[in-house]
Amino acid sequence: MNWRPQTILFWITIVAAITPIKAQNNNRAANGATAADWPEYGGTGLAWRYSSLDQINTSNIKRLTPAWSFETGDYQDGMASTPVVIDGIVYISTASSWVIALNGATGDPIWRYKYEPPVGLPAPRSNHGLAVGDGKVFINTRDNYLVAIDAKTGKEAWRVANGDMLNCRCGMGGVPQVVKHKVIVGASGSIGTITAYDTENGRFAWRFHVIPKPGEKGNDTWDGDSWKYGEGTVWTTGSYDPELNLIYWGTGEPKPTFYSANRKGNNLYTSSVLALDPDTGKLRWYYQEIPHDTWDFDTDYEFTLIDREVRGRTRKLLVNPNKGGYTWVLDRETGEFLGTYKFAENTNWIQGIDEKGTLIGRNDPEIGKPNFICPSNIGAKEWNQSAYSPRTGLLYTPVNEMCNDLVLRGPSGKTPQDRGGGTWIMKPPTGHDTGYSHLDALDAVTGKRLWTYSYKYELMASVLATQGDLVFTGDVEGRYFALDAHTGKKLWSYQTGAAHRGGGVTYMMNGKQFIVTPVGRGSLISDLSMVLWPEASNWRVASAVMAFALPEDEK
Amino acid sequence: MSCWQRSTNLKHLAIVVLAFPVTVFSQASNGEEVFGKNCTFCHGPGGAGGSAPALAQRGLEASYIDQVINYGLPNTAMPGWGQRLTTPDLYAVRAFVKRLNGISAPSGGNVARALPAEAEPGRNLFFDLDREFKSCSTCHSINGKGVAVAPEIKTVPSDVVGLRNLAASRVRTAQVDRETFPAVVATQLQGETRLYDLTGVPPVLRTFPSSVAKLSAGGWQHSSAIQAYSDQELERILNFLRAAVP
Repeated sequence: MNWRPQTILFWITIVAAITPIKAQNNNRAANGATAADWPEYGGTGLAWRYSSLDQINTSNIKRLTPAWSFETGDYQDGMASTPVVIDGIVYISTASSWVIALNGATGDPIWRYKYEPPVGLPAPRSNHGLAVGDGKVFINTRDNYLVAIDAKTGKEAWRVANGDMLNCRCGMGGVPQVVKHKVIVGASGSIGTITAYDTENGRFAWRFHVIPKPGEKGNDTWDGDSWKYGEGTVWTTGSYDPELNLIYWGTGEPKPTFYSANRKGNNLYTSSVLALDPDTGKLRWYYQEIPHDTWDFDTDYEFTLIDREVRGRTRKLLVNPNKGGYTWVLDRETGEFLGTYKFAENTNWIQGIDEKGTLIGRNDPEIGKPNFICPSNIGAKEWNQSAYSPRTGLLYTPVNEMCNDLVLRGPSGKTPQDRGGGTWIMKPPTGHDTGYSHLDALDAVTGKRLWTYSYKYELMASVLATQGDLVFTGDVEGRYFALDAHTGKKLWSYQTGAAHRGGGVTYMMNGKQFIVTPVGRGSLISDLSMVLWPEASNWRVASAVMAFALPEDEK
Repeated sequence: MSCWQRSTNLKHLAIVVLAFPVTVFSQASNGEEVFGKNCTFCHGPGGAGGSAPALAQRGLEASYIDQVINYGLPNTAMPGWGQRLTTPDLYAVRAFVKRLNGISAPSGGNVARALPAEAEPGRNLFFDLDREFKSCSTCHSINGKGVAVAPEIKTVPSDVVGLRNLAASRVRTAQVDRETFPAVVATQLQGETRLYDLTGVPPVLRTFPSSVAKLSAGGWQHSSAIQAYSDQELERILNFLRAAVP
């Protein structure tokens, strides 16, 4: 090993990242920064999407140049995933649950794994990313399989049906999480689940049911037997605090969506943050952001784990931007509510949230009338993740300003399963001809907006922040671009050729920092954006990965 | 790796999916709801039309509806949904669009014969979601539903004792390195052995180089796998199997 400055930085960061686990006191701030690798979906288990690399920075970003690109060949549903990078190998997953390992310096494929569904099951057509750990790569499939692939050879090591898709009507749309030799997955179904399997052999370890059964605490928050079909789909992924030994996962809305007359009550544990013990799956605490959710706002997306002062005391925080356009700030040791702030400009589903966390002035949709609700049920923010920089203390949050009409339908009475529902029609916010979006730099705890970057369409790609004081993301017209983390000024932009839906990341290889981003529209929501923007039909479909670096003489 | 090429022909896969008997789905999807979630953006509520053409009362033919929903329309914004939706949702939304065009659910053909009423409780037990991985369908598939770890059920034991003590000669004992576990061989191809590890539920399909996977006779008992069911429940499951197995 040669001790270049970057290598030393790498080790310093690694030590800093590991030290809190063994810390004697609880005052040491958790470090969620990545270094040479990008080991997890959210960067680290703390989900900052922040890198300590600064070879590429505000002074040289203008010279950032394409280094390589790779076409996956899996075009139909684009590229919505986030790469994981370990030891210079870039692991990517595609919509059909193919996994490809690329040489991080050249983009040359090392191996490719193509998931084959069992006979009779449809091929998966969406994938948000993968996890790497214990020498294996893990992917979820839409047909409800969890697959482990040997990270060296690309050969399948094991796969397990996390319930029979055709029976449980369940599937896994999220990203697996590897914690302490377990791989943890979330799934949909008549009752949502979080399940852990042994990374080595795929054997079942534990399962948490999102909805308590009769006799269990919380079942009385459901009307009659409505709990049986309450769902609470688990469809994103979790964060992990190694010091507290807790994983944090979110749950989706109660069913039926919108029509709620037959599920009176708070409907636990839907639309909630769950803090689980990763060894046992036992619930340590929960916090329900949206009791009795009638808008499909869930509690999902990133749980950004930071240590910051709140009202004069340093607290271990969990920061969660919700679909409804508010960010919740909780104490992640206890689940105590510490505050919320609004990040969307157009909200009318509630009038506000009081100091105890109670939703004030609820605007629940009603059957038999058009219910104009802002934001829309795809969310003031989609599942693409924000990024947190410890240098600025800012959470860089992509925000979509769209509304919808909710039209409710009561149960048909034909089957016990048909308990009503509804539909939604996208609408522009009041006073606007169509939707719009912005990327905001918000104080992560107070929500104070330092700057905003405006965009005329929607922002559907995850954000990356770096120690080079840069904030990266991509837009639906194909640009991948960098903003100054302090001012929001656009410093660099590159037309990659297709819309962005995935998550760009950064890594260091052979002394060179790379920025790598998925390229290609990858979600039906983009297809359906044509309701607001007819020109969305021009947003290009692709499935590629593109890497950037400084020219040889610049690094 | 040469596995880049698609070995499964998508069309064949689609035919297999289409051939599924509709009645295997005890929890039928609601086509209107699936339509509402996925289609109204463009086609409007109830298919009344929006940025995309109206679908209601257009006189569309059933085969055209199936084709377009499954595969989409090239060079238009209409995507193929055959591999985006779960199979129950796909059936439901196709049926819904057909109903919008005055076509009611087909009888005969691909639709499986209805089970006699006395077989229903057994079917519910066989696929029991409350038992999760402890239900029969964790290892057995009937009419395409359930995970086909075990071979297709072709004969039905005459009584509960026979069901509990079913010969399980296909379950071997696998020894890999220092690990020993009950296993069902799925495939042995090109130097690779794929085994279902039956140590617990759900079974795990594991892949090993054939050279390291040693197989010997097993002592695994079917009775141990179905102990979550009472005799009375197994009687009902037998009733279902008698009706469902040709």
